[in-house]
Amino acid sequence: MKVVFELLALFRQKAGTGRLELELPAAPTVLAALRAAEGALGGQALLQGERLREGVLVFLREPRGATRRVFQPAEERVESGQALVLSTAMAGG
Amino acid sequence: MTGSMWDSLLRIDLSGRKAQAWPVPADLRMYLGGMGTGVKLLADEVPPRTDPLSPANKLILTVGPLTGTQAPMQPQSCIVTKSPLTDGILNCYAGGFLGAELKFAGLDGIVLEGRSPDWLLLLVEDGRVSFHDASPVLGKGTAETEAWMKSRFGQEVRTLSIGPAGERGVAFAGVFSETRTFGRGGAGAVLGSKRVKGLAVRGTRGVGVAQPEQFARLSTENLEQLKAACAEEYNLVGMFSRVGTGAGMGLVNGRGGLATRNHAFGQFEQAAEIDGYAYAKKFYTRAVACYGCPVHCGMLHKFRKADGSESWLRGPEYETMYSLGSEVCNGDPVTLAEASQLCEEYGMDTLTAGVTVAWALEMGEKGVVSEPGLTLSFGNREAILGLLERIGRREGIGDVLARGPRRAAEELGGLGVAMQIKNSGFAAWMPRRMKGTALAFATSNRGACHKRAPIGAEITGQIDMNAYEGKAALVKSIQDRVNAIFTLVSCRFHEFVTPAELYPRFVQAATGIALSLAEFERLGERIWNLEKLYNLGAGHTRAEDSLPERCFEPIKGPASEGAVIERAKFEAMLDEYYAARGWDRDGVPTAGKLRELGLERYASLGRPAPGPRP
Repeated sequence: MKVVFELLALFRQKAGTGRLELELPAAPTVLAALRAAEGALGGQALLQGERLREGVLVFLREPRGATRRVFQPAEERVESGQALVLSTAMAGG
Repeated sequence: MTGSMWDSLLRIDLSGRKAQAWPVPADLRMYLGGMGTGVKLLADEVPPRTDPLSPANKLILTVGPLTGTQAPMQPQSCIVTKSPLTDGILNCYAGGFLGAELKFAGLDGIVLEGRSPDWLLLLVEDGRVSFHDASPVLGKGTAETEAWMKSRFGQEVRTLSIGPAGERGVAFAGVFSETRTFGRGGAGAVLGSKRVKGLAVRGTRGVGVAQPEQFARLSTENLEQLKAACAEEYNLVGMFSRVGTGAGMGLVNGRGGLATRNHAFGQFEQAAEIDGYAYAKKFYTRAVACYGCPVHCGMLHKFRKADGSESWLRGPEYETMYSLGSEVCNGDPVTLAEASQLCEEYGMDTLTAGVTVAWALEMGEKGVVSEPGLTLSFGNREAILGLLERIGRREGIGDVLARGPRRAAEELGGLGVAMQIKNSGFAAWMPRRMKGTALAFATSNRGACHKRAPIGAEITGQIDMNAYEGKAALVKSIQDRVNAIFTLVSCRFHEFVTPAELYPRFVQAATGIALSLAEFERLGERIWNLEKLYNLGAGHTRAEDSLPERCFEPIKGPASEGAVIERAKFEAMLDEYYAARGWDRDGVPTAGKLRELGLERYASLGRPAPGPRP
């Protein structure tokens, strides 16, 4: 299946694009999808072992737009119609 | 003196051009400094029904126990006054170097009283004040005024000033201090009402602490925490140090929480054109730090204006990227920079200015308001810049807009889409998207305040931003804790890295005053209640702790689809919040709560005097 990644904030800046698409086996775990994304993003470290690297925020976006934070990437799957959103930090000031 | 505090405030009577050192009494010392000192003094000395622009109002500039010491990220100073924008109590903050210089001058703060017959510049040197004619800089912008003061008084002085907006009483005029701003609530108009155009401070004294070895250990420990955060590629504060506060605008936009088109939408298509990365990439950028800060989140940008001339801009900060960017549908970083610079020149809070302009643009598109020479529509460069200039000069429609978004809407129509609370423009977050932030905005004593809200937890998905449950207690605890931290006048970003238990340890090492974390936070609660009593005395009611009608309608746009505040659930959350605070259903602190906080003698402060509000 085609997994869509939305790249926000620093990830968008580094990739030079706001969107990445990767072909992965059906319903991959978020962990597998992020490992694939690390390679496609030029070795960008998103993970520490099976956990998210500190400061990396990952959300699953539902088809109608709502987003939900992923804390345990090995325990969640990317279903058809969902997108993965990668971001860093919030904003302030 | 109490360790790092001088226990001395300088009272300046502008009417009589006199000044005297005022020893801080013991009961006031227990409010530590900063916001605590300011709120208690205002409550004691300025009746809540006072006209904020009258000589009877006071402007209280304070610092805290950590200001001017080696503790990192303690550069700020605080202004407390009665706000001409909200008609309630105001506290606002600016970083830079002024706070430390006040401390070096042997002062914990300055109280400005009365009204000068002529426009003045004040020079404070080691606790002595001299009065100078301000006519050479009258009508000048803030940067020019401060440059003039430095040329006159010495380049080493630290300064604050107001622009033409403050001189003319724009209700959201700010006070500017070199690269930083006391933005919210109209302190600039209060300073202008006293006919003070600027203040320069020079100090030569060292600041001691009660327990030097312990204080040095704590400072080193804290500095290491901050350095580690700055070195981490994805750490929030680390990113602030590299690209400024606009680093995370993409996340806010991606989650459908970036207020766009006067809060009608939650996403802005051109967000990536105006965020922190865009500015860093498009313009020559120089980071600037405040006193004792390893983060240096301030960014100066050199840009070319539309007319081809080159200029330096202080900022824009994230909040301005929203208010003069997405909120007015402006995706052009040059127009945003020029708009931000206009606000700086005239001396206006970019937040309420942008929100007021956004409301006017919507009203213009609906045919409710118009202005000769301008086409009032979203994204229209001439309209955005033209309205800001008219507000700063109080010309044409700008004279009405200068009173703030609510008062303008009450006069011209469209109150339900004036995105304000207590007449203070919304900060850069969407209450409909984030229910805890909605409650924090509504109940904020200074109106729509983003500094005491669960924004980080909600926008990063740490907690469910759509949920109402549990938010009342959370908001209360944040408000109390941040209020306590603002007695120290710590930078708001300091807490993003620093464990809470470090604050009372710092207080003890600096002042010798021993407080547990619970007692420290209880101080914050005491101040919150005192502020609330003041606002009640000024005539505020439960109706002021609410949200504009637009918040009860769904946000438009895909990522925010369906995000809305249900009125019954909001009211229930407000009831729960009042109960958690020990207040009755009208938001009035109960006698028991006042007794618990040692505020019994202030009970009458919360009873509004009869008659119309000023």
